Amino acid sequence: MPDYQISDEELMARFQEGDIQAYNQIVYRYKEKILNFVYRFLNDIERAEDITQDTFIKVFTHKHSYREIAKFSTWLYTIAGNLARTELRKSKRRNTYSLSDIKYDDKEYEIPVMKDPSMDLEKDNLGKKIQWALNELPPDFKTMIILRDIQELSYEDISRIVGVPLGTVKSRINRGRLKLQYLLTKIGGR
Amino acid sequence: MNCYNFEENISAFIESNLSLKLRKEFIRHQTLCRDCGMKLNGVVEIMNSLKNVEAISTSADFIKNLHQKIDKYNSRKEPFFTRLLNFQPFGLTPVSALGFLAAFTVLTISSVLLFQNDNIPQLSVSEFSQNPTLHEFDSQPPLMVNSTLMPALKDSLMKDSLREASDRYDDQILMVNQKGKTGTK
Repeated sequence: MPDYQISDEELMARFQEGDIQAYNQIVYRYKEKILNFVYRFLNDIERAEDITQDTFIKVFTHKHSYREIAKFSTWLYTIAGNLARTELRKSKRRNTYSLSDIKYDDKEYEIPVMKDPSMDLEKDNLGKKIQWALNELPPDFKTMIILRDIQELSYEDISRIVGVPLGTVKSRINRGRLKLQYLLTKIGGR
Repeated sequence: MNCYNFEENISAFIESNLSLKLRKEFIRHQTLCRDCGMKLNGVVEIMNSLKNVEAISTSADFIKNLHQKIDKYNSRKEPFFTRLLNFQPFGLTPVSALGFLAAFTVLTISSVLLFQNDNIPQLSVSEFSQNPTLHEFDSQPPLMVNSTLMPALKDSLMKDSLREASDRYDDQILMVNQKGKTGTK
């Protein structure tokens, strides 16, 4: 069970000294958050889990790259965001869908990009419409909206993660929300 | 406040980050402009929906798969360069250690180059004082290796240059005289 009395930075310091249990604590604390963050980016559960594991492997192999001058969560989200963006770029370049991707189990097969959402989403709930609208946003706007409105990080943390000034973060999040509102109005989501 | 300003301040209003004055203007515009009012309601609903979006969980094998990947990483032999980068001599980080090593190497090489023998023969004072002509200073006072060297050297150099100038002047006078003897008769 994770011990939340010890801070993330303290756990990371212990891990850097060789304490593997500290690393396991970090994984337990952040695996769900990172998975949800990456999933909103990629809209694919399996790939999101792979990327989440890659994120923690990077933490393991590059533990000495972390310096306590920044929050550990900022560093972790930066790694996850970079990996997710790289994966998104690769998948856009591929942009093919094969029949073998169809799963004959309980999982739904989700197409990341939809051309005519009103036809495909007529029976879907608001959650899926919002996911579609999120996918329509530019990557930077999408990252910030996810970090702010889903992950509930502060504007300062987001500014450090994406490497953009605070004012720009606030402006982009505002415009991202307005764009989402416009898209959902357009498809009749609201 | 116009519709453009209203849009720019929607998030700040929702998150209570507007000054009192701006807040009043915002609310007044919201009551007057129907479209802006709907926009505000739409953004509030989206923010609530995003906050309540269904969270997903990791699979049951997540930790096991992660440890397998880590074990696989640990079992493979690291490339030499990677091991070198991870090596921490005297507690220094690899970058600091490499930087220190590079600086030390540069200093050592510079010192060697500066004090290296450049094949100029060593001046032996005793040899010179016994045979001053060996060094072609036959018309000059012998070089001194103490602090009076520079003035003596300067003096000899000046004498040399004066002698040369004097020789040249003598040659010119001789030429003029010869011309005079042959041309003025």
